Amino acid sequence: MNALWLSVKNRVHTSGVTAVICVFFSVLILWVYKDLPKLYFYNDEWIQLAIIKVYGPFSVLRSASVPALLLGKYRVLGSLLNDVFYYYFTGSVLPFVIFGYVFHIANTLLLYFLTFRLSKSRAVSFIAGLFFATAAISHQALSWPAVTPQTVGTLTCSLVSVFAFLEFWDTKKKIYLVISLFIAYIGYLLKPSGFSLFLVLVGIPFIYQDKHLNIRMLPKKIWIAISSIIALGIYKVLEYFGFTLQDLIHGNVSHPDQLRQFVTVLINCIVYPFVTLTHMLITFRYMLRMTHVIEGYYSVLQGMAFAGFVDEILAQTVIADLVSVFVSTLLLVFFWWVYRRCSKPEKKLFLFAGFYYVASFIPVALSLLQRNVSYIESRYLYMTLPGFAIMAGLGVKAILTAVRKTDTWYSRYVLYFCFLCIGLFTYKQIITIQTEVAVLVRQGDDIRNLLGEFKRLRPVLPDRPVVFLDSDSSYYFGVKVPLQLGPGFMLQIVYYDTGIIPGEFIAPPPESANKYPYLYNFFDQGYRTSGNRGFGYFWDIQKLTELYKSDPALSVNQIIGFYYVSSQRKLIDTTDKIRQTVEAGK
Amino acid sequence: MRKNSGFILVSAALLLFVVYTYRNLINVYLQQDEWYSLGTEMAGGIFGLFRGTPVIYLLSGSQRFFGSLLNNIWYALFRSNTVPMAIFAVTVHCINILLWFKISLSVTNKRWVSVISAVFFGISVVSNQALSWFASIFTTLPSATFAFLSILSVITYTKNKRRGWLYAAQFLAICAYIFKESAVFIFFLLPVVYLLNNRKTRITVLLQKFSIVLLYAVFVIITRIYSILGIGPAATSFVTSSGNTWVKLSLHGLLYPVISLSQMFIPPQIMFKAASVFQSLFYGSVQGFTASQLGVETIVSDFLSFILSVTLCALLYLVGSKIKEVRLWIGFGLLFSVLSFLPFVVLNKGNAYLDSRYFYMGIAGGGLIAGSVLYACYIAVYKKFRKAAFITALLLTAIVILYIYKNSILIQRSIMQLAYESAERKNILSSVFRLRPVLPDNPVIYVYGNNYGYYGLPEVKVPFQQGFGYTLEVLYFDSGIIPKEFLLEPFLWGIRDQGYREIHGKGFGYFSSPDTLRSFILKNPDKAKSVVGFFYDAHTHTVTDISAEIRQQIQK
Repeated sequence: MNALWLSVKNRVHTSGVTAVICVFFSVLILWVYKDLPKLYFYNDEWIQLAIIKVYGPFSVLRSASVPALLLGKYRVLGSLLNDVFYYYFTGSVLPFVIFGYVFHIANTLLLYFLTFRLSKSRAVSFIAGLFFATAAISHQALSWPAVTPQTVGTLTCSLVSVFAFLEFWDTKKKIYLVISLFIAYIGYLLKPSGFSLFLVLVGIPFIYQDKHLNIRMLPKKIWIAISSIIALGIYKVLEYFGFTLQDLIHGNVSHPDQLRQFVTVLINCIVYPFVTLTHMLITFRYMLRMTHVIEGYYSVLQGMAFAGFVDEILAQTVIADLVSVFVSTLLLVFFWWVYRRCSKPEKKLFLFAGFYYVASFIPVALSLLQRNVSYIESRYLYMTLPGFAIMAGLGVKAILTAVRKTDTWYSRYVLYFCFLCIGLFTYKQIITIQTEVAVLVRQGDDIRNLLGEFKRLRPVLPDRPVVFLDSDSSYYFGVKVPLQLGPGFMLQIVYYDTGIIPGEFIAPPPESANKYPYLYNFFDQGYRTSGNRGFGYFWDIQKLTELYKSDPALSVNQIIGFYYVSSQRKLIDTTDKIRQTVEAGK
Repeated sequence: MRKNSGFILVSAALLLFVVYTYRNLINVYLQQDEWYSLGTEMAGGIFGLFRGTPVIYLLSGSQRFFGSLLNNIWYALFRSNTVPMAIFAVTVHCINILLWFKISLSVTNKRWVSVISAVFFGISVVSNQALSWFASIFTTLPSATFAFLSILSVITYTKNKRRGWLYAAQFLAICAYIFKESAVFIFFLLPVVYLLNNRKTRITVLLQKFSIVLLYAVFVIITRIYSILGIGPAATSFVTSSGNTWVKLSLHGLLYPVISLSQMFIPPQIMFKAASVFQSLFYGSVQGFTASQLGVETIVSDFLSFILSVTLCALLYLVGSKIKEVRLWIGFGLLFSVLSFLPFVVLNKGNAYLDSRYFYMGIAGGGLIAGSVLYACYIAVYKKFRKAAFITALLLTAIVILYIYKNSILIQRSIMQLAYESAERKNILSSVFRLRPVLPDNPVIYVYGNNYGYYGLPEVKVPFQQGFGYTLEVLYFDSGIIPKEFLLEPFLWGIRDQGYREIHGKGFGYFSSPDTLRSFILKNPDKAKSVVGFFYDAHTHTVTDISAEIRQQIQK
């Protein structure tokens, strides 16, 4: 690592400008994502937290065999990192946020230096770095704590690995190849979508060759890479079709639908990178405004049943795709123009960026068979961003060069206009991120406040409690409180530490038939016991009364009632009232 | 002659195949708008339609003056006999095919490319309505004839430089426009055709040469400024009939030419099936909301067409960059098609496709593109693998034959469907006339049936796309009991229209709803004796006279 760092250090311009750029990007990122420390845990994080509470921070190591884990099962390193954060900083998002800040800044600088190394152009590198640092499209990688370490960390590994591989390609020292592959493997263990990097590594020799590449000499030079990639590829395909040893033992054999899915994956490998070209530049909100205008064009649909609802769905799917394909086609034409104007090293960089961009969509195509809306989930796009950022950098440089070459009286003003556009675009991206984060902060604050209210009103619950929760408002899909998972499940986590909740309720053992925790869904309600412990949760008073009618052994003293007043964001204890109602209804 | 005999034989066979494909047109009857044209001609003579319209407007293309005039003359000569119309349509179409062949030959200098171009144009299911709907044959087809003649005249002018051809070209272009406004694009195309062989012409010289069409365009803009700006009433199919006119116009201007580009080559039936598969592949999760046939045939098909068009453009770019010879041909074909779709941006679409007849001119350009691409494929193989050239030629011929055959089958099916509907309509009208050759004075006709309602309209009990009341007015007009104002107005034209009216002592009424008829008779009891009732049994396709029963029921 030392050797790598030294070589990077030697090659990177350590001039004042570079230092200023490093400071600039760091400050910029800290400002753009300034509200991250105010975030909280939203949904999937709670499931993981429950597992850690029950099984400890290293449970992932016991969840599968060592070979399976080493082949990327359960994203072992990523999960371990998350679990350690959850376990040692319970209830705090700060470690995730700090990790996000540090590694997003690192990724931006790595991308800047990588682009500079390959293009020798500060303009291209700066624009690439700026685009990457402030891209609204992938903000979820930092604004959703549950995914930050895995997503951001994997990209760091990818970029370092590419650096090392380029070093190997230049110096032909095998140590760099080993380092590169090792770091790429670390990235893969952090998040299996990192396997696309192996493809990128194989692509680099094809792009960065001095002479015509002789295919026969290739395996000798990078045999480790080739063999590991082939092995991994075979494993992934076998895993996909359910032909791994474990799958065969457990009887998870493949079914005919998988072939159709496989074809869909292949098509998506082309479709996703293509439509996302547009999404990199146009935020979802702007796209929706546009698609609603276009929808007027289909006035024939307005007579349909549920026209408003159908309009919304169509606007977010087919019509958004229609606009995306149109804009992406224009972008492709633009990139073709850019490519033809690039110098030789820039052409190679462009090919590298394009290849990286497309290759990084393969894991997305594998894990996301169908999109609910035209836009792919924000976090998936973080890995793909460097490729587009480099192409954008080259594109901006090509425009600026073309303007400068016209050499007319207005060239200067056109240049100013271009700078203004870049400034406005970046500003708009930043505003979009901050707006999205502000929404998340508000949601997180509601969750934090509500969970705190439970503890404030009832620090301890009776044995085998039956909680009834009601409110004067409705949130996601009509649920009574602003929680993004089943309130029953969340209540169990809140009170797990008091020892009254059975562990298997919040974290079913791997061998259990239940994949999901008890009361996990939004509208789940019920009462269950395990040994001498138990827990119940209801939002429908009738169901609660029916439970008491059907089970006379239950005592009304087990009931705890809460009522959420949304306008005051306050919880009221309604235990007595609920107990009376149930008593009367028995 | 001997050298050309094979070529002439193939060309003649292809023309015969066109005639064969459309042979069932003689069994097609008047469908919708034709009844209005027939009615106005019967009531007002061949100039009846233009009453009150200043000549200056007619000359600026209003009411498709030439087309409508020809239409009226035809109705004056043959009335509702559609056989001459079918013969006219096929004959003019064959002339157009020959003209387009000549244009393609002038552009490409390759006979077989021109044959493919002409045959694609000649047998295309996408545009078959231009022939199969008699309301359009007097406008769309002659308009194309004049447009093609105009292009040929410019081509001749570029070769012999006799100014007469230049004037003829512009005069013919104006005629094409007066037959149908959508030929306006020829005004822009003529200078381009001239530039093909005279690339260094200065703009001022070009404007001077084409000053006649330029002046005519200014004349049209001045005389029709109100309708151009969308001021005044507009048909529901026009963008001006709803808000956001300019946004819609821009969107249409952008999307119509692009989307229609791929649609020229793909029959709607196939496109809709493909769109359904496409939807299940990409939008399975929201399929419940888009799966309706309406969704598939509009948005999803539009999207798929767009993707295919973009792919087609990329392919054409590739072909043009590899085989330089075809670059100009493809460019001309593309320009011709794209320009031909632009006049329709003022219209809203019902589904992903523009109305079939609007493709008529565009497909000519599409034919040239197809011919050029196939030729480029052949040449590319010929240059690299000369031995495989023959097999390639055979393969390409097979592709063309299969494509044309499929189109021919689909056209025949579509015409058969029309012929079936026509037979049913003819049967209804002849039965009505047979049952009641003479109507009482001031008749009130009531028509009912046992169908759930045609075209999704419960009150429509007979399979006529226009008001059946108006159709009956035309049917009985010669008996002298129908006021001619009713036909000119047109009274009872709408498919749901019913009611009674009198003028100059003559009256006529039509009802399809028993309740409306009853309330009418309650207000006008003296009309009860004039009620004539018909019942159409949609299962046995028979019409019965139910006048006596209806009168009894009403009096109860």
